[in-house]
Amino acid sequence: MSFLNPTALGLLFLSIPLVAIYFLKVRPRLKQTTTFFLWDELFEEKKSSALFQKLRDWLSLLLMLLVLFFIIFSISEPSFSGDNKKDYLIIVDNSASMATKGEHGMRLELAKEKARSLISAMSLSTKVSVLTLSNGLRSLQTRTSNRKSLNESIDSIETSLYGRNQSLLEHFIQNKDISKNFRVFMITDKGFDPFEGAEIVEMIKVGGHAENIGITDFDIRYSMTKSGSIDLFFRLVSTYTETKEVSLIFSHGDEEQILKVIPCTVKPGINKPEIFSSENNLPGKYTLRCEIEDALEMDNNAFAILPEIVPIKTSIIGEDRFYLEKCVTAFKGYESIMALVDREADLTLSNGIVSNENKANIVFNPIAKSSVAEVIGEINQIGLISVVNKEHPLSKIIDWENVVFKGVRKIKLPPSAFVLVSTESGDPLVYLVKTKSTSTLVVNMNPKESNFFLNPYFPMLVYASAHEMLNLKTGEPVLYRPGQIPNIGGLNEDSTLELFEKFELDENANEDGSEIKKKAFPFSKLGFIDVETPQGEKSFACSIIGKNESLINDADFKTTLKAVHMGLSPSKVLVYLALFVLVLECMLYHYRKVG
Amino acid sequence: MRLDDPKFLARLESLYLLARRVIGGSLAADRRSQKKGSGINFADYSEYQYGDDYRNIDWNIYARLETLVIKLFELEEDVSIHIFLDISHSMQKKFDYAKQIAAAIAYIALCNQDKLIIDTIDDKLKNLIDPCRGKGKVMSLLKTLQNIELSGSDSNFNHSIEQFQKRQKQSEVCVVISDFFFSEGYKKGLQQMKYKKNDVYCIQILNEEELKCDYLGDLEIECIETGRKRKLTIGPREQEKYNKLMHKWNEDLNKECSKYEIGYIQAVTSKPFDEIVRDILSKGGLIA
Repeated sequence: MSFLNPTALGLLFLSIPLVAIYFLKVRPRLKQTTTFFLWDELFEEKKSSALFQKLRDWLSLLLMLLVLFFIIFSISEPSFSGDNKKDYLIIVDNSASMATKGEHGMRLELAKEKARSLISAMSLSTKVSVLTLSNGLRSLQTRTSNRKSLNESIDSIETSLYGRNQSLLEHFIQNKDISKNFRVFMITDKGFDPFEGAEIVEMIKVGGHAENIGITDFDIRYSMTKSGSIDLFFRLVSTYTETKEVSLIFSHGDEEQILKVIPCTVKPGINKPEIFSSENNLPGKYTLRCEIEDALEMDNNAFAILPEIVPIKTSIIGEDRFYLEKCVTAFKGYESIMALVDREADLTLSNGIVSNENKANIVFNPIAKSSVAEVIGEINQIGLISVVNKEHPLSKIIDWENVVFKGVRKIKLPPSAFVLVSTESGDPLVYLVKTKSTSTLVVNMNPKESNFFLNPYFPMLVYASAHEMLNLKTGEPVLYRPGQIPNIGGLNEDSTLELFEKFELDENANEDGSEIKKKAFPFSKLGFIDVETPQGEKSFACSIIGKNESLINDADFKTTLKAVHMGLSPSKVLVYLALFVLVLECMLYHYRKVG
Repeated sequence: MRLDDPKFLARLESLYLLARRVIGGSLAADRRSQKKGSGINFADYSEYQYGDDYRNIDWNIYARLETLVIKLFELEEDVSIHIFLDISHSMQKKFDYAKQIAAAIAYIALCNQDKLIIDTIDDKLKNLIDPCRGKGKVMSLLKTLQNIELSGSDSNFNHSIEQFQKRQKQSEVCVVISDFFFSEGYKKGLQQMKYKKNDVYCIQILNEEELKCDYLGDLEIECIETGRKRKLTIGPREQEKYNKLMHKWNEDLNKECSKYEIGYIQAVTSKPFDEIVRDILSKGGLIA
């Protein structure tokens, strides 16, 4: 046993005046009686408590000395465990899996109880920082010994929808100040993958085996093989020890109109993905619900938004219309993303003739003089192809070096031209010309001569450049996982953005004491979220907490706690003892004064 | 109030007048005795025994029943009234009261022309007033009573009565005025008092404090007579036990008195002394 505040033991000298006062002042009242012989009989009856009678004069002094000693020892902060000089850093896992309900209650509540026990048992001078870990490491309380504030911080912890980001903990532990000055307690339900510095983190496990089935993957798409249908894809995981039969209900819309009831056999662990078709291709909200009562409720539902497809109206000008039309109609079967029109087109696809009147234009083989291309001659030998801008989206999806360029002309570029691909000598092969209202992609080749119409990159070039020029998003996910940030332009930051905090130690915090913050989209609940955007109202689906969260058990994970007091600290025990003895002495005093 | 105070004397006189009304005469030796003898007041019948006075045979009854029956008359005798006054320290708070009662009884006795003796009891028997008779002795009696002080270190009733027993020659009316808080007990003394066919009366003087324990907490209890001390914590349980013991002590005294045909009266100091004397008079036997 050691004392964290040994100087307080000096207060033991107070026992001297206490004893002196007792001997000088404490005397019973004298009462003369005529019936002493009757009182003698009472004395005889009380002989059984003779020891008490002998001690009775000393008992009060003894009790008061005990009270004094208990209080002084309490101030001296006795400790029976090692690492006394370190402050505590309590990290509570509040990831989605901590919402698991077990035999003894929700895991997060158990974790909070453990944290409270640690705080309750710590010495008076120990300072504690409280953090939560899910997709971020969030500081709730920094280095304080104020029990009330700490308990309030613990009480304020709620489960998040996010998975646990181990890398944040790893990065955090690297800080030398942490290992030097803190005992780090991680209260969690599952273990971590091995990482450097893990040995300084004392793991406290909460929650035992729990049974759960969760949807860990979910996607819906317009069917490519069956017109007027959609395909849905999902995957289930199970922590049951035996195979379970469950029903999944696939429904559409806010009213959750049931489209399909899918019976599933769920094996323990991660199951194979399942794909089903549904005779419905309406855009909007879709829900997949697993009908089971298990330990974790939030992964029993998956939500997705099937976007409404507005096809790009495309007109064809120039030679080889057949190939150009085929390129457009090739996309018709799948989500109808391009449609042929004669007028009011968004995109003009031209070969030989330069057309740049529409919002977006793709010009192959420019031969006439125009504002986007002034042909000044022909090039017979182009040599090696040079990708000038490798970061452009088109350069990322098309392997230009394997495209054959024939019928290339020497072109004088307009000032606003942005070259993507050129010859070794610098003659432009593919370039973009943007004005205020139009965008034109010029492909300097004869596509028929170059067999580019038969090249798989041809439709890809048309599709990708059309989306790029029309600023259309491609492949927008049908659902977002909690923590993902959707790309919504022009969102009102004041009203709809939430601030996520990044934990920093005191010395790394901003000068004004505020923490460094990062903006993110507020997915504060699972389900459908309607957002007011500059383009109008838009719905998002927030779903799927992840397989790591749905697989709620980790049998191999064990508590690695070193010697530490939990529950009541020795100081507190001494204070309670002092109070108890004081009450005893008060009762005795009362008994002695007024019987 | 002093015993020679005129107001006190007036109260004694009124008590004497009351006594006269009860007694019904003012001649010497007219105290009504419980004994049967040669008086003038018919008391009872008794079967004739050899040696009885023929003059007392009731011939009328013999004529009717053919049985010899004699008439008995109340004995009118000249008796000594012997007051035993407890002057031990236990009487401290009740001493004036005890003296007042003693004075009242003595006054009535002297006015009645009875012979009066007053002895004091502490750890031994002491004579306070020699045998005297007549109203003329009243003032000297009251002054003596007034000046008497508490004495003794551990009162012993039995021992005192034993001393009295040794020197007593004829039967007397004995009046013991005491609290009867004798650590050695009182039974033997009471028993001895009855040996010579004395008429014995016990007047137990108590005050309220003694009857009921009303103090609580840590106390050092000191015997008022011996000075012995003991520490005790008094709670409700101890209070109750004390009260029971006190009640039992008084009950025992009452029973002992009944057993030996001793008159007993308990006088609590909160009650005026003349009321106690009136009670004694109304019950009869002692001085009327």
